[in-house]
Amino acid sequence: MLKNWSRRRVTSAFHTFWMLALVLGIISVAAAVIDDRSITRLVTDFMTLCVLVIALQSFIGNSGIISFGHVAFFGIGAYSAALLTITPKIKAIALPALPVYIQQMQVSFTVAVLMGACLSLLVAIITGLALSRMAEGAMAMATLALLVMLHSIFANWEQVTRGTIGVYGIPRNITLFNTWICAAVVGGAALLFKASPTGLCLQASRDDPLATGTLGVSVAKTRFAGWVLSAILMGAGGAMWAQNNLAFGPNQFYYAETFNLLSMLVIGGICSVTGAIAGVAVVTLVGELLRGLENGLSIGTWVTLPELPGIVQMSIACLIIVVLIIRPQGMLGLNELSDFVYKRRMTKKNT
Amino acid sequence: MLNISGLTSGYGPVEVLHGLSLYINKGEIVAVIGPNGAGKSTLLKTIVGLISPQNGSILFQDRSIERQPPEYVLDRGIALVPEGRRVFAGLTVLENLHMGAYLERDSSRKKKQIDYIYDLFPRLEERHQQLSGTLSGGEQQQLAIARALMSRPKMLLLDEPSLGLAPVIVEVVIDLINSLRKEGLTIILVEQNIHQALEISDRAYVLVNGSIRMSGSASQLLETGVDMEKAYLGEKI
Amino acid sequence: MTIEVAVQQLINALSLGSLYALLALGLGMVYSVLGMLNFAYGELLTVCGYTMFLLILIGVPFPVAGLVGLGMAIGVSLLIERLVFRPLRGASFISLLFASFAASVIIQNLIKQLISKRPKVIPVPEVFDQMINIGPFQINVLSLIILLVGLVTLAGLVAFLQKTRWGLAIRAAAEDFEVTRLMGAKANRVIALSFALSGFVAGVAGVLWLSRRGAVSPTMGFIPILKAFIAIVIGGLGSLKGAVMGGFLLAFIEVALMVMLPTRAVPFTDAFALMIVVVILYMRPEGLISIKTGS
Repeated sequence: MLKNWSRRRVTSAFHTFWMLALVLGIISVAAAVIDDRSITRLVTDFMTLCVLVIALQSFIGNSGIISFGHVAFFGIGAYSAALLTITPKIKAIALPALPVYIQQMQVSFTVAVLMGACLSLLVAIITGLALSRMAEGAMAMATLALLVMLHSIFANWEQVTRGTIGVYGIPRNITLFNTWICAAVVGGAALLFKASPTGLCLQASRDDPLATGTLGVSVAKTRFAGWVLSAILMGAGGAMWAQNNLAFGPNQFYYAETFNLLSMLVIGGICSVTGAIAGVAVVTLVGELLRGLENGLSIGTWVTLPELPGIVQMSIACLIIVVLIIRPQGMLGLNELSDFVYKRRMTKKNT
Repeated sequence: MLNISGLTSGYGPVEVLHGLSLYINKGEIVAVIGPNGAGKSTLLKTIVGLISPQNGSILFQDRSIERQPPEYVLDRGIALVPEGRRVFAGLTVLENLHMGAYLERDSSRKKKQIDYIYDLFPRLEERHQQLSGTLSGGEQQQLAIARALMSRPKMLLLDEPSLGLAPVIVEVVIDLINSLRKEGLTIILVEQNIHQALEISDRAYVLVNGSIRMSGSASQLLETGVDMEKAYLGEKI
Repeated sequence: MTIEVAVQQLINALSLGSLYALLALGLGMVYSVLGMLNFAYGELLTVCGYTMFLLILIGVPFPVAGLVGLGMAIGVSLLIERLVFRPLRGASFISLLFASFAASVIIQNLIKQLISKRPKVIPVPEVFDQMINIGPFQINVLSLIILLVGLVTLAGLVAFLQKTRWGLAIRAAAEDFEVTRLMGAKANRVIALSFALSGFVAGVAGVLWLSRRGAVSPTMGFIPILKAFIAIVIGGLGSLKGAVMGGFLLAFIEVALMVMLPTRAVPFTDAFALMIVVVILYMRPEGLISIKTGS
């Protein structure tokens, strides 16, 4: 059984980490220099999505098990951030049934993100204990069940979530700087997990669960570890997302969002953290380019294209099919950023 | 009857068979022997069309059958009994036999063939309503062969028929192969069990690492048994 | 609970169960042959529903619209197979799952663009809402119709699978696809047949589903596929018998919960039902009927 950290893997994870952090940092600085509201918004959206998709990657990519349930952790993070950051005044009106100590509480961005992660962790431990013992197919189904269960809680627990009406009045605590820090930290955590002995065991179980079991690795335990870690990251991402979106309802944590996040991951490459970020970038770009079409576009004064609702989602769906046919492993395949930059040196060492 | 030349085949980019040539005459039993991973099963799968070869030709009764789908090859008269029996465990014995005659649309001919099979394998008639997953290993092997015979093949390919069977049952299978030969069936027998294979076959090929290492009449190869073991171990002869 | 209420609930459960069993069988059919979950399966019901909606709008009677809707479901099922899954033959489970996921999103958005984003009401024949008296029991006509149509369709499918040459090929392919090809069954034809059957079942279930709901919406396929998915997992992935059993079991759990839960907890029925299902899976990770190969 793998017990020791592989130095080579940690080094290459570290290289990928600083390069990714640098790229994301340049994007943030550029946005800060441009100082345009819609651009800043685009970048904070992008960073938040990066956190969410990387969180998803750290489970699906390493375990090879599809999870539909991660958006539930996203929701948990978002609701806990909302309850902790909305001003006591608004809470008193909108959520009068809350316990007094929660009503009077208002915390900072960092505390909210950490609390989102903690609450997610709790739910992940409870669910993970049952889930990680299941067979792959059953586990995928159980994650879907988790999504539906938590959605019905979000939509019906009116004292806390205001039901389908949703919560509002979350302060916009997000800045270019703190989203960048979050994205970099989450990316680093995912890369480190991927390079860790547990992460490697999980990847081994993805490729051949039976053989991994015979090597003395507890497949259930490694899956549990992956599940919990990615839930923590997802909860943190959800808390960030809430402070970027300011108001939301339970239907934002359901089927459509699941598809959205999964599609970014698949296009980028499920086995790669770099791929997760690349996927977010591509889907965001496609979205921005086509957004105009969605609301009807006028070319000159003569031609007016009709409104095309859903054209963005549809193009992304087509993109997925095309990517799966020509590059089944996604754009990045199994590669991380460092594999491109350091490839020459590595192969030289090996030969 | 079957003429293979320069056959290169494998899975995706992986090449397993490297330009292999062999032939089989009508009415012969030809053994293909060789160690694990030599490409024996790949050869059979390529002949029946489950794998499309990268190069080379396969002629069956002077007709080219490479790159044809399995249903075409079966219709020409080649049936494969796959490695590990692979009966349809959740189907009854009779249903398995019906699947074997999938291409036969004439129900009276199908009925006749089933009667013929029952004569050959009385055991299967007794158990025709039983789920084939509940049969013993030997019975499953009989069923797998019977199923292949349902299509009235001219040539039968047997992939490791003795695998995982008790010695007593292996004897039964060997007797069966002998009696099939008497009915005029041409047989390719793939085996790891060298001696048993050579005892019942006319000629044999030794396949190592995807190429033919030795070939000759079975009695000849039996005599040079020592050299053959070397071939297994991969030494140059 | 009086005996009358109990009988009525039993019929409700059986009626819902036959619907779920159909849904599960359609999804399970493709799973067992190809080893893939077709996420676009729910959209077949949507397509069936919208076809009926458009036809009824121009005055076509309900039963005729239902038949055309059924045909459309089969057609679209075959189309998806041809356009999405055939180019991906041999791809991994996850790839196929995502591809079908994408196909489902495309269909949903096409409907949003071509017809409407908002739900539309379909006028259901009035007779569906009536009650009939059988002895001391008052029974809803629609439940009875669903039960009958569901059972007849199930029986028809079972007969098809058991008695015909093609049905046999499907069952064989569900066990071992490669050997089925060795027996001379054309791969593409068996797969297309399984998609056609899946579409047929989705169509029948779609007509019944619509009769219950009386409305269509672009995302209406989600709940049915969810139920079907749960049912085939309970039954044991890959087992057609298990899919049918899983469907009935799920319906019984749901109806029992609806009867037993206090009014305040009713919105959480789905959550409780899923919890029970997860417990079943926890105890039997391979489902109720696990497939064991003979060796």
